[in-house]
Amino acid sequence: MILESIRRAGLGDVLDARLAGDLDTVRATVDTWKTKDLMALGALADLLRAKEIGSTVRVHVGAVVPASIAGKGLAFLREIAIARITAAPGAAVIVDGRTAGLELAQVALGFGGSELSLSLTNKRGLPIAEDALKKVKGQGMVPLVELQKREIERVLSGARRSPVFVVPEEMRNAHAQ
Amino acid sequence: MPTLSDIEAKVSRGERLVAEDALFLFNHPDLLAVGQLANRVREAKHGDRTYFNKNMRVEVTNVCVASCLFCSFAKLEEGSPGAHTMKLEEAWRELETRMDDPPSEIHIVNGLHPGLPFSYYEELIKGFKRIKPDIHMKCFTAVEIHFFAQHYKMTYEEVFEKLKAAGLDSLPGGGAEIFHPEVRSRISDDKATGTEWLQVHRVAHRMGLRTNATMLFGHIETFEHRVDHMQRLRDLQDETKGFQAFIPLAFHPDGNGMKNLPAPTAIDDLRTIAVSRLFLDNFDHVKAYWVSSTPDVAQIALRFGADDLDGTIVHETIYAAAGSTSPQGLSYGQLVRLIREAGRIPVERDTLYNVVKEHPRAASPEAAVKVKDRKAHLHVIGGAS
Repeated sequence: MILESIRRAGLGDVLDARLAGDLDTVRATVDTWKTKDLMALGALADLLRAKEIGSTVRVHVGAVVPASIAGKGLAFLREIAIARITAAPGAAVIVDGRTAGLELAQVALGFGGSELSLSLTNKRGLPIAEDALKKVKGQGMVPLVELQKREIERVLSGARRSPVFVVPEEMRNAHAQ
Repeated sequence: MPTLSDIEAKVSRGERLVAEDALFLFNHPDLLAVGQLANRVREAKHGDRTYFNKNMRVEVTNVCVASCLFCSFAKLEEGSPGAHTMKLEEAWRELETRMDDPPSEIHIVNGLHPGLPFSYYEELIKGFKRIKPDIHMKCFTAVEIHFFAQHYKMTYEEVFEKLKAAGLDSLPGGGAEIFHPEVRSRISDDKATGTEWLQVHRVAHRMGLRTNATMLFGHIETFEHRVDHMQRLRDLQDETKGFQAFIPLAFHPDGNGMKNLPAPTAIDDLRTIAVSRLFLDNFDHVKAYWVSSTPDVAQIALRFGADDLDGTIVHETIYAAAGSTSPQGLSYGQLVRLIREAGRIPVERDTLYNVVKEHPRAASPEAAVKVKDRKAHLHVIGGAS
């Protein structure tokens, strides 16, 4: 059904070229297909993501990842999908969760996104202190950072994806000193 | 066990889905496939048209005898911290101050206040109608109507007769929560049961009132409970044809008795919208209530089966109390823009879905409007280029 819907949306040639590894054609024709039906574009992008990368999502916490894609709304999902389709097989398409928010980022991972860049913040968008603790019933005082990671895991598992948290180099160094 | 192809074939033939199909769709790993199917049904019913209205929420009292676990709005007693009950003049002023650009609908939902006379509610409606005689009064959930009947010792018919005489035009869909007693008895056991909620709407439909229906999802219920809920609504709709829209409402946990539960995610929102569009074949409209899902997710839902975004609302307080990060109102222009950016045609409607104004679609879909003209492949890292 998915393949049929991709072809019905006029994306059959893109699918074939992409699967054949003909990236030049895919990239050269982007203007002819980038405005096709968003759901079909997303389905094509997600199919490629699943085939090339699988269900693991690398989550970059704290560090700003320059190549991450930022945005809002449907245009953002389209941009993620286009990035996946035009990317080399297995390349990382990084969703900027800082701008999109975790909710929208979760959806974007279903449109071809493979990695997530996030800050750990409170509800007001302020950064969480590394030593901040919160009392959790039955668990005592738990680091807020840990609770946020659990929330990210929950949201990603709702998208049937498994997070791997990536600690940025500068943070690793800071902890080592 | 059905397959996605089986269900697609049913949808193509216009055949009704059964509960097992809906459960399968709730559990299917490919959200986009489910969304595409729902989008097909949505476009067959409405094309690109997407509805919204100029409405205004008024919550005149949050004093409530019910103690629903999911509610962050109600205060049990008058005089409790945060409890409020508007004087009638105060409520009417909400409209008077907006008469330069008035809404077409007032949507009133309240707590179940044990100390007000029934005449308060009659006068409330009459007063709004005096200010703007053609305003549509969409007032009181079935739970409130049931409470009125019990508290003031009337039948549902008598309550409706009096309220209609005062100017009631239709009923909102709130208070439905989850009908199944396994869930309802745990989250709200001291208000109208699911059967009573449905009976109120049955009576309303019989008396010529159109209504909506909601479902509060993402708390302790299972997918089976959601399907059961929609099945009961579909059955009643077969009988009365009185429902206009189905509105899935995402649970928000802040400040209520279920604050230990996480809120449902965007994917759950979109999937629930999609499955409801496919299962509720006799409902004309499925609404993405932007207050509960955020405007961003509601916009995406317009590609997952939803054809309505609700309205301007102006000042929502129930979800705001439960920690929603959505604004409390959206301007007319913001709603038009949200819809146009989704590649849809904004249609301002009245409460009964008569067209007030159809706006032109955007010159190009959202990609052409917003995706920057740059080489998308520059935004990826690595891979076997």
